[in-house]
Amino acid sequence: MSAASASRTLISYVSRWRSGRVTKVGVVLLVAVVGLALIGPLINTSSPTAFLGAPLSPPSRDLLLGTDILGRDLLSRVLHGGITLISLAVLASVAGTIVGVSAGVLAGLRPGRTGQVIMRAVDLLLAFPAIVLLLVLATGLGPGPTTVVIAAFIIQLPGAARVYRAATLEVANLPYVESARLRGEHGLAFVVREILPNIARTLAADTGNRFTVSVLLIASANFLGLGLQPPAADWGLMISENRPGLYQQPLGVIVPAVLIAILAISVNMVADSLARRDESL
Amino acid sequence: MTRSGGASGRRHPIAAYIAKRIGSGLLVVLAEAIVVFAAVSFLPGNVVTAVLGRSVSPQGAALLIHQLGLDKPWPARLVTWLAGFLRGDLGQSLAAHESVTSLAAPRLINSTILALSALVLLIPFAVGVGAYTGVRAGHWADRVLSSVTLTLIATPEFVMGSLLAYIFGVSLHILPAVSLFDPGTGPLGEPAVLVLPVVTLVLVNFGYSARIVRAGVAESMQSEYVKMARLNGIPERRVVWRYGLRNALAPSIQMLALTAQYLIGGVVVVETVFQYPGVGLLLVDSAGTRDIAVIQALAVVLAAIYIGVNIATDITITLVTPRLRTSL
Repeated sequence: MSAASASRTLISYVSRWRSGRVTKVGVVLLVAVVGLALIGPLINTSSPTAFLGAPLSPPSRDLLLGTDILGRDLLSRVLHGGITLISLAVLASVAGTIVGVSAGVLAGLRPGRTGQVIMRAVDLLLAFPAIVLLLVLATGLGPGPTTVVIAAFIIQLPGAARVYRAATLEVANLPYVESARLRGEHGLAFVVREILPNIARTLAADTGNRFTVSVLLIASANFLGLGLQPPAADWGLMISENRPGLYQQPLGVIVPAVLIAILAISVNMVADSLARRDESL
Repeated sequence: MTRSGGASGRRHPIAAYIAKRIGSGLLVVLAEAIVVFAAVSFLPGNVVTAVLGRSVSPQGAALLIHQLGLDKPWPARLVTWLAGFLRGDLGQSLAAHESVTSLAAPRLINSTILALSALVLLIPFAVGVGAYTGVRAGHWADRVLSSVTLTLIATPEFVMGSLLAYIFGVSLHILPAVSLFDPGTGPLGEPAVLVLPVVTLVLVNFGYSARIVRAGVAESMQSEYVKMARLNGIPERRVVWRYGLRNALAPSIQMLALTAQYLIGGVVVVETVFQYPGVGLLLVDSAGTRDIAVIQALAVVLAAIYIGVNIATDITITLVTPRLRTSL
């Protein structure tokens, strides 16, 4: 199987994926909230960091959602506050998938010392609660978006490596993989031509899970103040910033909270149906 | 047969298994302590400017570095730190001017109360719903509940907590939105402060726990022995109780363990949402002030509890599952 036919496999896999009701709801919600996050910064509202009114003022004709705890336009902050979360999550998921696939395939193909070392490292990382690992890294690296992406990347590595190792072990002894090995294929070319096309289904099913984990972790990190720093507009950060004003101006907490919930839930719905599609194949 | 073979053959196989699991667990804790130490010590974040600000004088910086012992070589620091752990000395907090042990002990109790309350409430709820839907796998009640659990699993703790704080704390005004209580009496002196944090933890974790139990029950209801029992004419009610549910015990223990492990991370976020003075809030506050001693110590303590739960679960499952017990 060539790389081109591998991508064909992936495409036909995705197009054969028939959607149930939950999946359809998930896709619609996901498109809506990601659309809002991506198009939001292009909508010509006031600056998300300018002080435009009294702190915690209620919605008015000029400021449709009112102001936040420092008197900034809440609507503008909501429109600008999703794109960083989504792009950081994409970055962490892509990095986690690439390195996770590499580590998993390597551990699967070389069950000797290399595989042992990789799986010991995986076990060690799995023995940390994710949030604790995040806090330790934030202490070492200092808070910031880079720290959060690195933390989300490291936290999903063990899970990804396990999944892809299992998938590799499953295909490594298939007759045509065996015969390719006997033909003398080896190294990267062997992995690209024989292993990757055969674990493409796992890849399609697992990518959704990677993204779910990233979104949840990065949003939580921003909420805890370990990621994006003020005055950045970010949904997670907005919730903790506006929390003291919950009584006077609840929208500052509720709007970003609902948007994060919709994002996380719809991502999970889509990921779940992708994973289940894989099981039923 | 149990007494034959090898030097360890004199001990009971189960005792040997338990000893082996505990021994390897201690090794993992040691490895984790080293990872935590390395992450905090070698990563490029600058502690001095984080603690004292950017406009620090060279003398001030040198004094702080000396106070923290950072002028000693790292192997010496690692050994001193690990040796302190064995004596129960977790180091000195930089921000609170207090030993980490005395700072963290009351908060560890507060967090334990929070986590145990959530666990006690969650288990019957999750086992009940999981078993109910597992027996009826594919039925409409199962499908409805699986959408609900899918939604709950994906909702982050801080989102759930903030929404509950708004609904019950601000709108309905029946529960405190912030968990303030007298440190002398602790949270049990004012149980109302526990309600929202506990409910948040239960709701966020419920979907996950119920799904694990459901999967276990559904699997055993599909099994050969349940089929045989039905073919033998045993009444369905008896089949469910006697064969279906009983064999779902191991996944339920697994669920209990996963929940306990989840709670160790979950309390960190939920305590921050409600400003509940537990060990999680202390960790987050210390990350803000770069209080390295506190973070190092608490990270290792939490990771050790996490591993402890894992080992206890493995041992319990081995003891209650005849197939695993006899294969030792």
